[in-house]
Amino acid sequence: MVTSCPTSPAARARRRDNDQNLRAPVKKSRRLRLRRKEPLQPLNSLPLLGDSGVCDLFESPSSGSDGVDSPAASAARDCGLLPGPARPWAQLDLQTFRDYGQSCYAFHKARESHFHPRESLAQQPQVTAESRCKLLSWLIPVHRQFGLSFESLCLTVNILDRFLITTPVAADCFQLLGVTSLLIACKQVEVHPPRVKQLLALCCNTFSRQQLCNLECIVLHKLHFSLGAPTISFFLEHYTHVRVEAEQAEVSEALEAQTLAQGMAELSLADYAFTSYSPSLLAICCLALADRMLRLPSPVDLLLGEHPEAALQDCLGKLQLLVTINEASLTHMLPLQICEKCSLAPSLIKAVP
Amino acid sequence: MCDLIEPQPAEKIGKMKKLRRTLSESFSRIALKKDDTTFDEICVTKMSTRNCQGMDSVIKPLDTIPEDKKVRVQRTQSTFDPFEKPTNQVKRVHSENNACINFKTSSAGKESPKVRRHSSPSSPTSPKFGKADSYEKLEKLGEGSYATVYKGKSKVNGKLVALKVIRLQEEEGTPFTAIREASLLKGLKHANIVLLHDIIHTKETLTLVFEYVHTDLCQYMDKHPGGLHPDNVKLFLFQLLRGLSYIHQRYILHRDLKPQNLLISDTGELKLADFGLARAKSVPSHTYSNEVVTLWYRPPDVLLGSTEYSTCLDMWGVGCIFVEMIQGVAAFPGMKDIQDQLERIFLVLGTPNEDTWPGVHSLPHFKPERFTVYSSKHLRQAWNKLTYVNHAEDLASKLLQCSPKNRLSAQAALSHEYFSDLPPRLWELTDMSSIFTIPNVRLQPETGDSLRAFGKNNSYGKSLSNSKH
Repeated sequence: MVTSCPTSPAARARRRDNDQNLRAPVKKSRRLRLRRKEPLQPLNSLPLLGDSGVCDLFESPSSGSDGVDSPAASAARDCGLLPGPARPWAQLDLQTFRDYGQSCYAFHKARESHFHPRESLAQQPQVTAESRCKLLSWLIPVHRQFGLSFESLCLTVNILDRFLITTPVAADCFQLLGVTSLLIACKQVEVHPPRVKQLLALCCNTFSRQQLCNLECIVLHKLHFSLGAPTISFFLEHYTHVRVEAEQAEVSEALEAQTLAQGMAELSLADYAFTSYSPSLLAICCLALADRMLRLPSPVDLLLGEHPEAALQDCLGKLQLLVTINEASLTHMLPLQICEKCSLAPSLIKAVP
Repeated sequence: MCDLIEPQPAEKIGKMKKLRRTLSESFSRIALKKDDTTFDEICVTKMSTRNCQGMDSVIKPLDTIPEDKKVRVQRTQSTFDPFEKPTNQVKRVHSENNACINFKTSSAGKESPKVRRHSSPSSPTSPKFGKADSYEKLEKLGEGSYATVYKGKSKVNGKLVALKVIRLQEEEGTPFTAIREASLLKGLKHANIVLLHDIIHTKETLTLVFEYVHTDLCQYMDKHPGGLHPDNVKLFLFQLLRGLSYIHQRYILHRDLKPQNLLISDTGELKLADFGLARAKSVPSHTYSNEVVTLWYRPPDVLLGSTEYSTCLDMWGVGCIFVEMIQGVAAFPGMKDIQDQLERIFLVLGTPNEDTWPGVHSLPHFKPERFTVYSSKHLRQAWNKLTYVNHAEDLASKLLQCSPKNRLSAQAALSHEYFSDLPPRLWELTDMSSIFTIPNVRLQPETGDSLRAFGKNNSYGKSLSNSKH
């Protein structure tokens, strides 16, 4: 990637200027970058917007007016911009898990194969595994930039792949499809979905609002509005709850493993080779690998998801390789604390049987 | 790509051409970028430096095994434009495929160009649902937060339907509420959840076609003031809990429970409706028309600014609705603002402190000095009719807990003693079976209403016309 990042200070400064101008709608990048490597914090310490009605008077994601620049809206966005990995701390909700965890898991597990896109590129004349990888390598930082949840990212990829099965897409519209999928996924699960304007700006305004909205309609139509796909994110959280509830791991350990596993899962989303694995299989394998890298005393039970042994080993093997060759990317995705703990180094990972 | 949206064929062609031109323009622009260094740089920056602490922003796929790295580096160096048209693509593509999405194969054949269908594909001979003109629009039923609801009639089978017509926004595309409602309801099939028949997508609107249900709990209570028949309350509550338990098992929260969103059929079937906010993490305080949304059914933890949501959020609303059905008046009819709403709650349940509700002091809007300190009371002191029915007060008090963690779950509430006199077969029903399929389970005439029992259908009809205005 040497060519793409200008190295001379002058070039860098110029780039920054350009950034400033072009990035106006999404101006939180610098701050996010600084925060990303801070240690995990419980959500409570951050001033979050609630549902009380106090703060959302100005926030009207469903109204037609463009509230991007209203102070309340930007404040809202501020709050949404949490470093991804900090989220699980607040999300460990053992009570709901006790009430509904198993039935919910059974429900998602049963629907998994229905929503699983297989060989999404088989019928594509122009989109290749490589361009898919590049698109997602771009979408992953974009989703971080907006402070979106991992769930949104998983759904984005699911929407993208399922649409690719139904419709041939021209290469020059692949990026538009990427942001459209992201928009739909966010409308489904996020509190503050990105604005269309922001997404268009991210694509250097190559596409028009009309094009994005039209494609949104087409995607919704082709997917018959079925957007509730079970995701790796769901299964990671479920398996984490299971081990904490069974007291097989300390809460902090389990959450660290989940964060590391989520980093690996993000990598795997970008690689077409992993689309053949179901989300639950990937989730359990990511957790197992994370446990090994963190050297947890009692690793997660690989058979928790009742996957066949052969599939588990196959997936685990590929995942190890993926982590090895993307070590650098992975360290940038993770909080410092976790990188230090698992001392991300190829030699260590290779040593794993 | 717009051929499905454009109603006029002539216009359609024009639009297609225009779009294609735009697309090829955009295509050439992308191609241009490679020569124009500044532009290239900006774009590359946008694409790659989002996580640009590292040099590698492209995740290496497995087919690039480490030995292969040299080749890979070359490749990433040579271009960074995932969206350029692959020059060495083996499969040739016709020029018209420069259009963003090639629709020819998928749409032209079997579907009307005017309207898109989302109904599950049925055999070609089966009646055609999905067209806007297959439903006759009757009177307006109400104005929702983001949509207008009409009574409608299927031209195919004459059945009544409710048409929820959602305006599409120019700015942000399909409203998130519509996407959520449609996608969630498509996966929910339960006797106590309103059934989504069909989705019709046209250029300006998105119409969700629901089964038609005669009235809602709000109107039903208006019609029978002073509290409902205790047996009916039990049947309504049982159905509400059944529906909630079903969605909670899928980790779906309704988040907007109130009597207006509980539809009641003429046989007494209760159906959860309005899933526009389900799963959302923010509840708007204003509707489309800027009416203030009622706070009456909003739990204290949410009023105090908590953002930790779980299924217990819905259970507070259940408690409020239960009390309202029995007593005939809303449980906490706040008149002014959030402060007033909370005062009303604390007046009955006691002002919370760290002992009664661990963690309450850390909620964003909890300021101890703002609230008068009330002690907790028996619920019957506030709502006397709770004592008329065995175990009703106990169940209500287990639902109306300020601390969300102490609230009974829907599943657990179904096993509460309050329901112990109902036929056991009610707990064995399959999802899609109504409770009224069990012998001897039926709605009782409301007190003071028995004389008018024969005129019932009429009065339902009347209540419809002035509904939800």
